[in-house]
Amino acid sequence: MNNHFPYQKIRIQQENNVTVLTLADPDAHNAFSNELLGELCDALSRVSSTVLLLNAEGDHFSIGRPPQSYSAAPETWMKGYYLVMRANELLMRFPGVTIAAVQGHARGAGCSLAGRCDLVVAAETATFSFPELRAGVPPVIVASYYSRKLPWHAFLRLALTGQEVSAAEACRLALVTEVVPDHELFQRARELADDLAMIDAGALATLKHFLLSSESASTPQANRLAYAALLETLASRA
Amino acid sequence: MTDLLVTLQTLDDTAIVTLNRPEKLNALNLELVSALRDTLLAVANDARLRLVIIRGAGRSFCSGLDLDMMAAEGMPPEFYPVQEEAFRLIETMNKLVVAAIHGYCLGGGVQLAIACDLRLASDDTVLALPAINEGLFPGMAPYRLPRLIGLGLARRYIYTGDPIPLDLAHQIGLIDWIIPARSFEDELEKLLQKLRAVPFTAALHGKQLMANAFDQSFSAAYHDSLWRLEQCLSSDDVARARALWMERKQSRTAQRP
Repeated sequence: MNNHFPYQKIRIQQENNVTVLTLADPDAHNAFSNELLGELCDALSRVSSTVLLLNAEGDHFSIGRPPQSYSAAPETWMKGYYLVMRANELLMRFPGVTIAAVQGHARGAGCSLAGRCDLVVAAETATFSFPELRAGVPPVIVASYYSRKLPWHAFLRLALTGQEVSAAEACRLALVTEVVPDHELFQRARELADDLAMIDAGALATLKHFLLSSESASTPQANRLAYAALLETLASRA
Repeated sequence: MTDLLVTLQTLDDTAIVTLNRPEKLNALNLELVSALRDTLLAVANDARLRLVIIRGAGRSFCSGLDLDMMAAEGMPPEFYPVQEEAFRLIETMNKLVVAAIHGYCLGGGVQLAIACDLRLASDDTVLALPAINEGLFPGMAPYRLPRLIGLGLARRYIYTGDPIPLDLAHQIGLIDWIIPARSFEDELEKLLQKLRAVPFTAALHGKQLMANAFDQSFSAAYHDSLWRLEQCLSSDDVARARALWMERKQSRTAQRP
């Protein structure tokens, strides 16, 4: 099953309408190296399913960009940030429901990617943080999304202080949708994925497309767009 | 397999997890808490099991943090998270977990015991949270103990490290049953028989509701209880209880002149 996807740092498993994409570089705490990001982008551009479950092997979801990347040659970090941006973009454009299952640390670009999933299930000992600024890197890719999606002061606190927040607090900030006991994380995320895989893929794709396309629309414009989207979906079934 | 630091025996739906470092009164070092965590994870994932007994081999249940380890190397960085992973598994697993305590039950031993659903203690048990004497607080006991016995008593025993008298522990619900040391095994077996007969589905939903009792609003808990009630109503236990009641009622009616 993995044959079509010759990856080293991630794994892909597809069954029924669920794709499970696993960050599989636990020795490096699933740091977002250029290799891992390259594979992630490749996978995200190729797979399609009703549900995408993004999880990680090992103790931590991902510590974000590898610490040594900050001192790498310009062409390396330029490529790295391009891939971070691209992975975020591909994830947000995924036509199905995206679910992240997070354990351990979710830091920086790792936290940013997990939080962009539609639903985020966290183990109760998981932590979330955006520590980029402490390393002298402006968290602008993070800001491009989270400055709108999180309450303003919650975003600034995370982006400015780099402080780790607990799963429970992340849930209060709506960065996380559900907190579960550690040992139930994968099972619970899988149950959720299997349940959502029964949703009509077309209706789901319409909703997700609408959310993207109406993002900068005014409310009356969005109302019109919604009407058009509904007609289109229903007409395609007739 | 006497070299294992934690042993697991299973019989039907019951697991017995034994701390097995008797020469050190089952003091907790990294190897022991790691073995405990791994064993409890296996137990949590075994759907056949319903009842879990945790006990100590030798003269004591558990004497808490290994002070030899502390003196020699300090606390290894993994020790505390792994220990807490083990204790948390006890609280979150879908099983009824009973601590069967005897001899010394100190510090981490008390922490372990109060993560369990129920505690039975032999009348020779010595309970205390002496972490303060080592310059420490007793892990997550400041979180769990007030929930179990109230803030006032928790403060007293966490600040002073004084032994908690066994009769007091019994009165305040820190220990559920006290049994004579000489008939420990027999009494433990009797209790297990009693607990094996407890309708399991209802007990688990009760466990999960109580786990959130101090942290949830009434509204959230009530909402949660509705779903759990449905699960119980459709369980075999309720069907059996209803049939039994009907049978009794009919036999009473038949006996009437």
